[in-house]
Order: sequence, then structure tokens, then C-alpha cells
Amino acid sequence: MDRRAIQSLHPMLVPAQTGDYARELFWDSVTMYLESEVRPGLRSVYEKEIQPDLKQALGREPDRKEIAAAMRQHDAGRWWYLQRTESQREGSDATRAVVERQLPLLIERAKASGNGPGSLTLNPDLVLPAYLDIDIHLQKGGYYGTADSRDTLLTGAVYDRGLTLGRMGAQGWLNDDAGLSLAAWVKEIYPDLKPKRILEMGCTIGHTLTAFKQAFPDAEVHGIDVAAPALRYGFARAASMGVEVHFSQQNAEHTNFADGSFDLVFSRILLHETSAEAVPKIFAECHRLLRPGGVMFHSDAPQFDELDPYAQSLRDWDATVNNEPFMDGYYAMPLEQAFVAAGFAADKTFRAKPVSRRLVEAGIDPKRSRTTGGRYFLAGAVKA
Amino acid sequence: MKAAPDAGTPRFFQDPAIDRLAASVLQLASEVWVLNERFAAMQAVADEKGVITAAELAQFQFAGPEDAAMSEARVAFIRRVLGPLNAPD
Repeated sequence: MDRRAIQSLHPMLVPAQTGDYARELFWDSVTMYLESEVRPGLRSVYEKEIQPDLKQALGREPDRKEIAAAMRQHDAGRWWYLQRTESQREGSDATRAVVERQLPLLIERAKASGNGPGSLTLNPDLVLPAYLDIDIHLQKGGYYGTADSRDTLLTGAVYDRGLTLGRMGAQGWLNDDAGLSLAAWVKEIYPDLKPKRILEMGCTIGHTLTAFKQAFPDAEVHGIDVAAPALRYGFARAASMGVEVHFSQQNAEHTNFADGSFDLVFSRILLHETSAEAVPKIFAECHRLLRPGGVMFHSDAPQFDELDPYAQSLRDWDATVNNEPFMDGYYAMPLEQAFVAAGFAADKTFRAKPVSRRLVEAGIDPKRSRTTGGRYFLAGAVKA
Repeated sequence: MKAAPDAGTPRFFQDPAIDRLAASVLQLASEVWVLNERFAAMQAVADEKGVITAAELAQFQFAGPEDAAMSEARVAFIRRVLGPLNAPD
């Protein structure tokens, strides 16, 4: 798919001017170069130049924090951190500049999408969780937006455009690979679930949910998020694609849905952006919302207990530089214990690694995706 | 063009990182100037022949094989410019 086609995938994507698009693609290519060509080589730098001395000094194998600290002191690590930080900031700014210029047209197109299908319910009184008062991913105002963008759809549009153009289809051209892959996994593992009501917590622009609606066309599909700009954009995006999704601005820690009102509740790369206090509340809320026999799962990057200490240490840049401070805490959390504390039975918990459908089908190099070897990771539980 | 300094390349600073940074900046300067001159030449020819307006240029999008070739060239460019920063000592 060429650049003209990519920028016309749905009405809420608008082609940028040549120079602006070249800048977006340049910084994306720098990011991919750093992630897929430079970073893999850093492991051998660690193993040859750092690990032997560090191990000897400690009298044991170093843990992820000690490895990360040592890498930050090594030139190879310093350069990687410097370049990756620049590529993240510059790439995000390049896309934001494009969207700011397109904003009047995007707002016009959002209005043209009318009243759905689906719905949008915003809550201007919703209090922003304290853990989101940070420029997540080095974006000004995170996805919640700054004071001058909070009442628009800007951050939602930046998120969609960045994912679509940035990863060049590695997450599906409609950023729906996770949704398609996870929905296919649900169908395969729980063939009798046949969900009538589905909820995604932290849905941002609904790119995962639209795939669930397509996989389960008879289900009533809901998405919640605290970021109004993402929901506004997501509603317009889904409506323009003719997909019925109900978006509402709510905090996943406590929603306004009735007890036992969902068959399937899930999240995708949400929990590491929350907090140690929020996660148990979110799991308890999932338990409350599920009917008996209903399924909860949370898909995120693999927990630390799935990785060796060096691989664990690679999350350090995200946590300490890319403003995702709960990354370390979340991936270290014993999820199954937390599920049990939330009311799920220990023998009803599970982990899985569903295969990425589009990545494999499209022949896209898995290195271009944040998934590991073309697989997603998830953990969850069935309500007894 | 080299992706990284050859083994035995003279080092001028105590910290080799500074040599690598300088190499990267110079590569970048070289690429930017080549681009400047090529673009200026294209504009001059286009103006002379009256075949293209500034607005047309701004709206142009690469497509098909040209788009794929541009992507390949972009990755090669990044390898050249950033290669020295990421080369082992």
C-alpha cells in the first residue's frame, strides 16, 4: 500500500503535504532502525562489556534495574537512549503539527459522520486520575490533551495517524490487528461464550473494538476511556467506517454499568499506564461487571516473569524517559494473585499468547511490531 | 558512503563518542546539502518550463513503486547518517 492509499484508509485520515509527510516517515524510520537494527545488538554489548564485571561486583546475576542503570552509563546505551528519545519526541511533534493543520477539516468530517451508528457519551465532570497527569509517550498532555486541545479530537487523531502511518501497517492498516487477533482467540478458546455485550476498558480511539464488533456482529460493544479527545475521534472514526460502537467517558476503576451486565470485559495496553492502586480496583470492577461464566482478559506486553533480566531491562526507557512510570510496577505484578484478590477463582485464571493474524498473513516483519515474534500476550480469568 | 568509520579510523577526541557524533553530523550535513541542490535545480527547471506550481509540489504524493523506492532510500539514508553513532568501538 502506498502513501496516498494509507492516508485515505478512512475519512478521518487526511493526506498531509509532501514535506510534512516526509518528516513523519523519516522519524518513524529512525524509530524502526533503532528498535529493529540497533537495539538487538545492545544485548551483546551488555553480555561482553558489562555483565562480567557487574556480576563479579555484585556476586550474583544483575537484576533488570541494575542492568538498565549500567546500560545508561555505557556509550552504546547512552546513544540509543538519546536517539530514541529524539525520534519519539520529533515523530510525535511531526504528526501533531500535521493534525493541527488538518483540525478544522477533521472536525467538519466528524460532524458529517452524524449520529452514528453507535453513540458517544462524554462526562465533563469526570476527574482525571492522578496517574495520568503526565505527558505520556512524551506527548503534550498525553491523550487526555492540554487545556487548549481537551475540547477537540486532536489527540485521538494524532494517536490514529501516528499508529497508522508510523508502523506502516504492522498493527494492521486500520490498527486492528490486536482486535482481530484477540477476537479470533476468544472465538477459538471460548466457542460457547457467544458474547452479547462486550466492554473494552481504556479503548482510546476504538481501533481494537471495531475489530471485535466485526468479529461479533450481534454483540453490543462498549468502549470507555477517560480521554474525551480520543473518544470524540474514535466515535467519528467508527461511525465513518459504519461500525456500531458505544463510547463513553468513564474511569475503568468504577463505571456506571450494571452488575453482571457483560459477557466479555478486556483491555489492551491499558494497565501499565495506570497505577498500583488503580489495577486492583480495575480487576474488581471487571469481576463486578461480568456475568457468571463471563471472561476477563488484559492484553499488554509480557510480564517480567516471562522474560530474562536483560529483556526486562529494555522497558527502562519507556518507564523513565517515555513517561510510563508504572511500567516497572505493572509488569512485576503477580497478576494471578491480583485476579484472586478481585474475586476470581485461582483455577479460573489463564495466560495466553495469541498469534498476530495480519502480521503473519501480510508477511510483515514481526520486528516492525511491538509484539514479540508476531504474538500478543494476555492474562485473565473466567468468572465462576 | 560508509555506514561506520573503518577500523583504524583516526580518533581525535579522548571520548570516541564525540568522534562518532561529529561523523554523524557531517553525514547529515552532506545529505542535506545534496538535497538542497537537487531541489533547487528541480525548481529552477520547473520554473523555466512553467510545468509545476508550488501548490502542486506541496500536494504531490509518491505512489506505487516510486513510494516503495523512496521508503527504501529513506532507510538507507538513516543507516548512513546514524550508523556512526551506533557502530561498536
